[in-house]
Amino acid sequence: MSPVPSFSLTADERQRVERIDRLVARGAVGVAELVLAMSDASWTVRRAAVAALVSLGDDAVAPLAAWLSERRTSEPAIAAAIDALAGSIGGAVTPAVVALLDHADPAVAADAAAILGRRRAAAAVAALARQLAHQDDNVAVAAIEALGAIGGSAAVEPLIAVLGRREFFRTFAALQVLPRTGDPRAIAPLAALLGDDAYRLEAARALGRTGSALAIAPLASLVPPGGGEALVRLVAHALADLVVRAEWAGAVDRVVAELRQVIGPRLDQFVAALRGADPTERAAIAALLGRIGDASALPALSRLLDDRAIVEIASDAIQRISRAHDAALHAALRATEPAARAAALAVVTSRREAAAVRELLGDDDPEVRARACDALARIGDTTAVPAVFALLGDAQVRVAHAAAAAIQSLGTAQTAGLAIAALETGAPGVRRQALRIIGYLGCAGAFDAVRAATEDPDRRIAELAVAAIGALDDRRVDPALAALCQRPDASLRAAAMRAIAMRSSAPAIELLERGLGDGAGWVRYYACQGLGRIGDPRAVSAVIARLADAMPHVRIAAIEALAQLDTPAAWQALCAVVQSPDPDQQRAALLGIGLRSTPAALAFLLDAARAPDPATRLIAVSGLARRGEPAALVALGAAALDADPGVRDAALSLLGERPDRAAADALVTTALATDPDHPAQRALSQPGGARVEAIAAQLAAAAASERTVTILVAALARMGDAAATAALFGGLALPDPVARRLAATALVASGAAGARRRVSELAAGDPDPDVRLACAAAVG
Amino acid sequence: MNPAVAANGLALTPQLFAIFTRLVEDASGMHYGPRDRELFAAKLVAHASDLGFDSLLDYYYRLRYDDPDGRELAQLIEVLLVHETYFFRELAPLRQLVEGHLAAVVARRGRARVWSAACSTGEEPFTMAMLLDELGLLDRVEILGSDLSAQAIAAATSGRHKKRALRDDPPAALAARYLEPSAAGVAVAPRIRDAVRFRVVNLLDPGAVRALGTFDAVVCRNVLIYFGDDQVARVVDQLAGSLAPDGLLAVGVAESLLRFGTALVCEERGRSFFYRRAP
Repeated sequence: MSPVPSFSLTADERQRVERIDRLVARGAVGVAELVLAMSDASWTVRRAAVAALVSLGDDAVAPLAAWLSERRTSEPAIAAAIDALAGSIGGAVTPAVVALLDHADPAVAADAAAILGRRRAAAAVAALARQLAHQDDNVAVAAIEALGAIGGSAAVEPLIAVLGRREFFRTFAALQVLPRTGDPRAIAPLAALLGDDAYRLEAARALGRTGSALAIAPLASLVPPGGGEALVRLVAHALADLVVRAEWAGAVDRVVAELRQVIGPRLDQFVAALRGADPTERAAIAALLGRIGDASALPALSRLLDDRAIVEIASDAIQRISRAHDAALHAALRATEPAARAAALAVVTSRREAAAVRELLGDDDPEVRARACDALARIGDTTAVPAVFALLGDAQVRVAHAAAAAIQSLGTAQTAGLAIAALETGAPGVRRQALRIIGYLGCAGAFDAVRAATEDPDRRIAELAVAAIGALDDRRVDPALAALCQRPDASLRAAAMRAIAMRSSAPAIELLERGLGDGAGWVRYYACQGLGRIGDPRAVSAVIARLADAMPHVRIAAIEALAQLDTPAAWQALCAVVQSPDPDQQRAALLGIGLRSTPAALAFLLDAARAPDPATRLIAVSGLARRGEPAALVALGAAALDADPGVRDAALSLLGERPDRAAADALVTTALATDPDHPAQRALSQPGGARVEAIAAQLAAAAASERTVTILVAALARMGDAAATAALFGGLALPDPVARRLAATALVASGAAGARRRVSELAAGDPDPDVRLACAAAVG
Repeated sequence: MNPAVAANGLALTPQLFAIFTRLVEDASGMHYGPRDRELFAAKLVAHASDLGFDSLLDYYYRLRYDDPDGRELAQLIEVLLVHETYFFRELAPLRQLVEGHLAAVVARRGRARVWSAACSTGEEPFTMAMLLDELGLLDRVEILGSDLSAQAIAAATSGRHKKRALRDDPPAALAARYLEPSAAGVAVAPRIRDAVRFRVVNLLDPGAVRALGTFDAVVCRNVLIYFGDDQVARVVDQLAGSLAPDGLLAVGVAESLLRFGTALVCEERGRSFFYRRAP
């Protein structure tokens, strides 16, 4: 193995870094020396100097700007100066750096543009836009890129002019930035580039990035009448990207309608282009076919199910088509590929397909058989119960389990009789499933058969019979369970205790208390569970004694029981156990603590929200979601940005479920801190709660950045309900022209009633010229 | 209807998903993310229910605290393993490995060793055996196939496979010569079947991997995609350690080790990519 390079400091470097720390403490006096330190030979020392200059804020701005303008001693030092100005906490950075945009040295001007872009300095947009016509390509490109970082919508016209001039480097840079503005004015000039060989490919990709229905026809025009599969694949890629962006912007319905109209008649070309396509191209074509929703694409999509790289996308596409068309669903249920049949079964919701689904109970593929059971349960086809009973003995556990679950769900009058018959005459696997069904449904008349099964030599059958007997409504149950508690077989005693744990009769409580002293760990385990479930405070002392049990799972069951016993002693015990080094014990205690609304519980939950393992953080999040304190909401918001997707999604879901304004504000704050593809943005656009109110308030706030407005408008557009649409209409009257322009574009793209008329009014009469032009382009 | 609904106890909550996947990953390396949750839940719930549990938490505690020989956990892992493979899968790199590398090793040293790591039901080592036999080298190359799943290894040893093991437009000549169709699927020719040794090996077990010795070629394809990054780094380290000085490692065409900072260098041979130990 190669030696790993050492990143530790030399003694000399350490001294220089310490010198830098002392200079920071001296404030402005130390700036000159810190600026010199940017030229240090050591990367580590240079980084320390940058951090120091950043922290000194305005004291360092003018010296840094002067150095960047006049000294520029080396590339590493220049990079350090740029980093320092880009990260500075000072408020004077933007005007000082804007002044450098007009510097005679193009390198200085380009650096200034880069700094402004990194700072997302909205106040510099006009000055940057002027640099688009700079004679030096590097300056112009840097300005374009900076506008892209800040939000180029205020510079759409200058960017469009760049496209028109066809200056190679600048045009390519503008092709990256313009689509992201979401401005409909960008479509026509982007489409015009499709006719130029030098820019065609990148212009096509750029049109895809607009997410606009207006871009579909120009893209479709690239598809040659017969052949040209490479171009078809490029267009498919762009269109698939377009759909994703339209979905984010809340405009997907209109986009899909346009796709069906424009691309639908040429579907066979896209299907043919699957040949020779790489995985990303196949994924794009599959996604497109799914959106267009034509059933003729099903065979081609079915063949993609073997490709692990895109099986999910292909399956999703099949499901989209099947959901939309009965005929397509019918065809998919009969597809040759089992994965296609399985995908189609997942979307069956109507009894019209009951006959076809029943046929699939006999399919060769186990996943198909299992999903057929699921589908029959979903559509409530009770006539299928006898046929499903036949699958209880399926060789595949997954299928037998699905069959049992379906029977439990369908629950017909004949089920009890069938289950008892299966118990008495079936193979072992069938008998086990029959016992589960009997236990679930509490089948009347099953006591004798189940009681007999508790003596079965097959241990699993005997244990299941014990569990089932506890679920029956029969006066003989309690004595039977009491007798089972005396059996020499520990697993049967444990099964009996588990069954007793589900009952709350006086004899049951007595048996549970006795069970705490059983020699077998699992008996004590279920005894603790039962006493916790019953919640009788008289059991607290006995349960607390189990905290010292020899078996770890019994100790945990005791903790879980205490979580449900609302006494001071139980609380004290939980507070002691929550500090345990054992993560399972800690989590069990935390669960109980989370159920308490006391102030003391909050501290534990906040601490646990920072635990290293995701499972503990999840429990903390659940507890915090029940609380109203500001600290709890802040912690939930932080959890919504957790690196672990499980914690993140749970926090977002819990925040989304809360109807209060504080939770909505927390969700807005979280969404604004994330990228477009973060789940927080999807969570923000779920209808309900006080979200519209919170979004509208943020939109109306002064100095909302273009990025903020873009995210919030898109959330309203995706929400699509009456309140959200009303808020978008409200956005047309906001003081901020960026907000008016983006709200107008979103309303027209969503097809909301009255949108075109209202936006046309803005096109004619809005005080801002950019708004008038964008509105005119949106309504066409 | 029984109000103590068993189905609730068998619901895979986010917390249960986190603790079960951690348990499985620590033992087997297999990593599960949100996208795998549905399939993971379906297999886990069916298995736990079949064992008689009506609570996944009870099952978790059994695995964690009452499974002294690890047999229960091994059973669960067996259920979760994905046995996705077929004959002649990604054939070009295998052909390049056999014709462009193993043949040269045999020419130099008279013999060679090749290991198909995580071979599932054996289609990959059998494919290599066919290619070697085409060149007349089968008797000079020791082929080992290994997998974590005892069931898969048992199936591999039988040499009998389902119909789905043959797909993707198989090369007609190879299929005709070495595979015999049957009512249940296909059977591998006895000469090919007997040329491959199979063993159960956990790639995370350094002792078990070291005990296999060194190889002129190691094939570990479309397996690392199931591992988390930490585990991939560990496994690749093990595999690198099992390579002979001029040995080659082949991973799946969609997999790359370049971001892991391993002790391996990547090289292209005949439009296929392989890794060898850095000098």
